[in-house]
Amino acid sequence: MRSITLSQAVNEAIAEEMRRDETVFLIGEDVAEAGTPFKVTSGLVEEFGTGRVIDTPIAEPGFTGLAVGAAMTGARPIVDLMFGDFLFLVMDQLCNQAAKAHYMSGGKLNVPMVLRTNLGATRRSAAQHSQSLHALVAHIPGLKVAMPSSAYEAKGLMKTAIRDNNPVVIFEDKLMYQDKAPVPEEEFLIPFGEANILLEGRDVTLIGTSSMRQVCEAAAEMLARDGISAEVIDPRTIVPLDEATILESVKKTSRAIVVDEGHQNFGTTAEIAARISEKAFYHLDAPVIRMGAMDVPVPFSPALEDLTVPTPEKVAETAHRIVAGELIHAL
Amino acid sequence: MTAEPKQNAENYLRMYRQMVKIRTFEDNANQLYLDAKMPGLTHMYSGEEAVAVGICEALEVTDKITSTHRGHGHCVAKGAAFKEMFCELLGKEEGYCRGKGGSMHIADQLNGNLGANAIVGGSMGIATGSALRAKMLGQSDVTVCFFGDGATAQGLMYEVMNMAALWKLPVIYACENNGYSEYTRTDEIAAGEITARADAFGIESFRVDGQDVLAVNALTRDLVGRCRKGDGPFFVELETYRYHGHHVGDISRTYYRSKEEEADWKANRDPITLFADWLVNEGVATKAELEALSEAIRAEAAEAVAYALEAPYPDGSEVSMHVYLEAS
Amino acid sequence: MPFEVKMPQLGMNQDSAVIVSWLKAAGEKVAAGEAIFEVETDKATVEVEAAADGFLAGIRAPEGADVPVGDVIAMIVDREAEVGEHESAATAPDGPAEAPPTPPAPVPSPAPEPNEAEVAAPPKTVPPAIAAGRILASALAKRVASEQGIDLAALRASGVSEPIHARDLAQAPAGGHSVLSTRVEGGALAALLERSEGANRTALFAAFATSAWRAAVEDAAVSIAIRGLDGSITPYPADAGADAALSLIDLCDTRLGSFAPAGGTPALAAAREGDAFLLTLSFNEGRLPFPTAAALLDAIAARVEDPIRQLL
Repeated sequence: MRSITLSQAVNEAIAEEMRRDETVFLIGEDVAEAGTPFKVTSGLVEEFGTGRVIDTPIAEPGFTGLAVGAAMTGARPIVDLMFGDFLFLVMDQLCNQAAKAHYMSGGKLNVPMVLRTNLGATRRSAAQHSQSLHALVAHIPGLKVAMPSSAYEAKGLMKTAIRDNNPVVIFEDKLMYQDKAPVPEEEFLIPFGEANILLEGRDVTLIGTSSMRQVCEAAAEMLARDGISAEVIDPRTIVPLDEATILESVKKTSRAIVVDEGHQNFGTTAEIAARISEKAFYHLDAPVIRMGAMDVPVPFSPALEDLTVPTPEKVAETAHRIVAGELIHAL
Repeated sequence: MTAEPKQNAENYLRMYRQMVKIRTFEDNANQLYLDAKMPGLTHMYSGEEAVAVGICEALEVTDKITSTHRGHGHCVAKGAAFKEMFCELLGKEEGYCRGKGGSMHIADQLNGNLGANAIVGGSMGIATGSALRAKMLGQSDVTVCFFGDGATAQGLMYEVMNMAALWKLPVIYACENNGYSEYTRTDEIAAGEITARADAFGIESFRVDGQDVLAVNALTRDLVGRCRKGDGPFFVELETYRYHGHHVGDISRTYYRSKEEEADWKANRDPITLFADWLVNEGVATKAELEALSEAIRAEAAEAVAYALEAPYPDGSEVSMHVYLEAS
Repeated sequence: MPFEVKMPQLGMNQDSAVIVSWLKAAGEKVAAGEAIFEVETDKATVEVEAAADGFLAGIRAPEGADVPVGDVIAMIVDREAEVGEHESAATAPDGPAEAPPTPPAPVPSPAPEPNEAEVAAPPKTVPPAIAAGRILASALAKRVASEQGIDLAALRASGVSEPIHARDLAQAPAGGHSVLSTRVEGGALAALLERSEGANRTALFAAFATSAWRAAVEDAAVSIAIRGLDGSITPYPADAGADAALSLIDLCDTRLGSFAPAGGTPALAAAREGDAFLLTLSFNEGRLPFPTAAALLDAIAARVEDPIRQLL
């Protein structure tokens, strides 16, 4: 199978869906000729024109609001939010308008829009361009949240998102845009709410979202050398969350570490860990461990920034401790 | 007021009826609230009827509007029925939103009402996006964005007017200037002229007497026609007045406006009285005919209120319905 | 030493029970086996019998009180003179100024011949769990230990370090339970079996156990798993479900003396010893408290000794 970059995968998904459905359009800052700073949308304007690949002023709430109205009246907009950090700017449009329209109208209105943005630190961009804010939107009923972990997921989840009848927020890891993965040439979709078991194991379940999947896979390799068998699961979407796959795995391994790049406090790791603790409690042989980003604004200096995110080494070390049965009251 | 009365008698009487319907709806809603039969929070449109009716009578069913927290008038003017509206106000199953939206969120998409919005200025993006969709998909409908003078302080308005002007979108920004931003006089919260905001983007703007339904209607007809030809967007400031407080419970309001001022508007600038006088003077209808029309509407409202009071609440199982739309 | 009267656990998932009424007043003489109070559980109202002879004293829980299972609700003292002490101890928060006089030896169970009842020594000296505080064990370890009747306190005492995990349970001493046994005159039962053609001894033991269970543990239908020497398990009564409250092993046709299987379910073994029967009850104290177990075995023994009483 051919390998393409995550960036190409997203581009292909958007192009295929725009060809399939003329109500699909792309809107955001510098999405047309510039193809975004990450060059994800390059070439789309040549095929679809400026009428459907729309460059906007720097006005995130404004163009997000436009997308809500367009979606409510029959179009399927894809909003390009250049950095995940700008979510704070668009919260009213996303959370008060898009997320609630279907419910508040008793099912009369719906908002089939996609907001694609990114997450991920260690790009030396400091605190306002490095956040992973998916937990923030996952908290709001009415929104779906997808977190592709490779080019393959990026394409399959994007196509599903565009066809979904609800507002979907997709978080791509901005450090993975150039990472290649095998992606089939033929059309495929990845359904929401179906986790992917990347590695089967016996001793501990590592649940990793987005690029933390690769962190977990690397940790699992290190653990295997020490005779510890780790199961690695990528939830792929956190709303809806494939709880059944995660619980089944934890019931088998009796230990779990949840790894995610959002802040640890009140975060995605906390939510998944809580569900495991509630629903698989009597199968747990060790505390469920959360490993999120440190609860500090992301620092600029590489010497500091690298300390803030989970690494394979940290995950493997933590897995060692819980498999060994250390008394863990705090990590 | 200027027009050709006899030829358009039917249209005029419909406008009159719509204005009376709004006033009657609000009188009943106000009473339901004061009688503690209506839960929540509600904002009366009384006094502003000529704005909603003058504008919506210039629109087709396929044209869209976005509405505000003070939205009952827009909803009625765009064609909604009393029964479903009262049911919604009371949180009943048969309400427009199955009781999930209430007074501040009534949506009636079949008549092109994309919903009231309880975030001041929150619907400006939606209205502009609706217009973007129309232009992109080659559809001829026009969207009217209702908002108040208070919403002109929100940043979103400037972002979306900028884009609407850049892309010549078929949207009309209808600023209902009722003189008060919640409990504060508009001149204390808005620097400069309201219309100057649109002028800055090169959007053609108008100021019109919002108590004169024919003036509002004539202007809107013209602007809707121009929007359909691709000349949008437009901005209209409608000078009007709200008879009640910011919300129903806002009773003691002399600290921000005088009782004399309220009495003066009601006595001399009431949109329904003014239009009734005109209809009688022009020989379109007699006083008795107009009174009979009002009486019929009052009876219709009373029946709808009685129906809504008896109507069932939604089943508890509905609480988790409509969070997501799953079928395509 | 005074005997503590505790709120018994009368159902599987029962945390507490309501005292409906006290049938004896403080200071009244009570005999072991005599009903002293009534409690209401989610299933039924039952009379609870005294487990010792003496005088009721120090009633701590009034009628109507919802009392957690295992809480001490009264005392049975040996001499009438001690009653007053316990009354005052129960009502005065500071307790008596003087130490109580050294009481005589305890009456652990109503067994008629206490010298014949013996408690098997646990494999190691187990310190009281309460003194050493909470046992740190994973949720999985706790669940599996409970299912297998493993005593985590004993496991800790045997040197397994905390927190205890599921894999540590493999180190649990076999059994992990307590054993009570008694020797019962067998003449009456032998005569009865001889007289009645086709009478099944094992089924009779099961019937005795059922009736004793209702009297001593819970006044409700109980099912028994009869373990055969061929490895079979036969429910008693025949239509009973899989989760038996008690297992029964009849060794009377063998040379074997007793059997105390691992697991949390109480087990009754019956064996021949000359003309007598040796009855052995193994149980996990976490699930079947010692006083209840003692009352149960005693009630079974009484029925074996005098089967006519059972059949009537």
